[in-house]
Amino acid sequence: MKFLFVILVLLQSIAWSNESQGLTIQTKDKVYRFHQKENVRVSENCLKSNCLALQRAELKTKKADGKYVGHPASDFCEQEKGEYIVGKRESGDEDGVCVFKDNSYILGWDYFKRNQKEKK
Amino acid sequence: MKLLWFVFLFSSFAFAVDPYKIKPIGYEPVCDKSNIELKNLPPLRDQGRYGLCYAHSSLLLLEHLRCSNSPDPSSCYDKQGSVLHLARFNHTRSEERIDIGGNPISVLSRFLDTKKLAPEKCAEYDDWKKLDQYQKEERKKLTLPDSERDEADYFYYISRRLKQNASFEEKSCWANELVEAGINQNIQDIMKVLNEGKGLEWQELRYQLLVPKSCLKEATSYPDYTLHTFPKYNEKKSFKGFRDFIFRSLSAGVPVEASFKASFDGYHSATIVGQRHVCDKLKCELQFKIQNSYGKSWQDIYDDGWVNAENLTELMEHQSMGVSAILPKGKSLSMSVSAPYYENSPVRSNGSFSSSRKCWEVREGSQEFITDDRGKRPPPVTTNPESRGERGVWSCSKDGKKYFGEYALQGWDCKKMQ
Repeated sequence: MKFLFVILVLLQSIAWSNESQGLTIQTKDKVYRFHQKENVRVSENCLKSNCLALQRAELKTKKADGKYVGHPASDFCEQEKGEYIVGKRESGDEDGVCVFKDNSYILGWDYFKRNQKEKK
Repeated sequence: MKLLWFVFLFSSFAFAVDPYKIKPIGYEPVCDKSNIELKNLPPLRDQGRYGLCYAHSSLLLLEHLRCSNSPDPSSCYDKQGSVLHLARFNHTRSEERIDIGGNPISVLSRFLDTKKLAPEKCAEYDDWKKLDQYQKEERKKLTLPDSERDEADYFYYISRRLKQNASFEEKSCWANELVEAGINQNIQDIMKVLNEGKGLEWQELRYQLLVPKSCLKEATSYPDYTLHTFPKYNEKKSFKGFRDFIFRSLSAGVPVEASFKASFDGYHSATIVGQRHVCDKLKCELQFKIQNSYGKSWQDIYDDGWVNAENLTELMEHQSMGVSAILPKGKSLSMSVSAPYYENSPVRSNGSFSSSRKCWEVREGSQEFITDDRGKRPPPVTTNPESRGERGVWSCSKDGKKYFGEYALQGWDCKKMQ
């Protein structure tokens, strides 16, 4: 019985350590923590209920009129009334988060690719 | 009429472009002499919504030149220059402005006059993004000509209001917002710019407010360099021309800025930092590694930036600017070298490669070898090759520098790349 208890405690601590090792993106004001759901990385409030970050949307091609194109994931996020926020990963590399009105969020390129696939 | 619609639709699809084609399923990297992947690169940036790709790719070249050979590149990159300040070099000395869209070759050639940038920590790109939260409703009410739609940021709005004689209260409110967003200027200096800003275009206001003059006092300096471009005025664009220029630059240890068609009617600039061949049992394709200004998750989704080279160069041919690289003063590109290129899998060619050549990295003391067999690393220098009957070519690195290693009858040697 004691042995089983020790195993359970060990498993729990492994689960906790895995969670704390999840992806985070830090801005000056906030830390965004990500969790895996439906093959994309989203905020915690998307795990149990519906959230705007996981709602399907239609990718529309933006006209560039011969100019430099912007950033496809950022443009798409803003097209869907999200806010594209750039922060840093632990490695020092920058990355973008698409944040919605219900405070749910998703990695910018995960959001773009997920809806690009849906379109097909 | 139906025929016309058909022609229109067909031509639209024909123009649909995807610059980033990753390797097909079943294709694997092979170990050969053309494999180059630059190390000690600056951290990845994410340009966000603003079209400053040209400044991001130019900055990567300059930062790599400044830091790649430093004893501690990562702390060197901590002092990187401001991308907003660099964007200003898209114009002549007298035009101090930040434009959306620009020409990396102009930036890199004009920057040679000063070789100094305000530090990123003083003139932060992030401040511009933060200003998006202000005057949102007012900005939505603006009627914009199509040509200015992408430009309509906070400064566009302020510039319009200044031209319409904005009140003192409005200016004070903007000054407070600018300070709150983190702009490195005090209220008095900001008010001075706003009070004198009636005649300024929004791109000029952007520069004056985002790149404070005080930041130039603690500027980051860059080494002297020469700018190399392809095509030159008398050269014709071709896949061979592009891949030779890129191979020569990468072999010299420097990244390449590339401008290309990125959508049906728009352009993008990114940086090439590596090349390799990927093959299945029959065919091979050349790939370039891109370090994009789209953040880390773009790299993750697009096979860490490894994309089909032929497709990308085809899109470079649609762009007037081509490719560019900067070399430390006194160093030149080896013009006699042609890029290794093959389409048929090595298993079908003269037998110099095996189709199962997968790359493995083996560390041995201070040297790092890339070998075709994890269990069979390249022998050290002291091994007598004749007794083992082996010969071959590998890439390797020694003391943090990349070399090609040649192991033939003379024995193993980590030789410097041409």
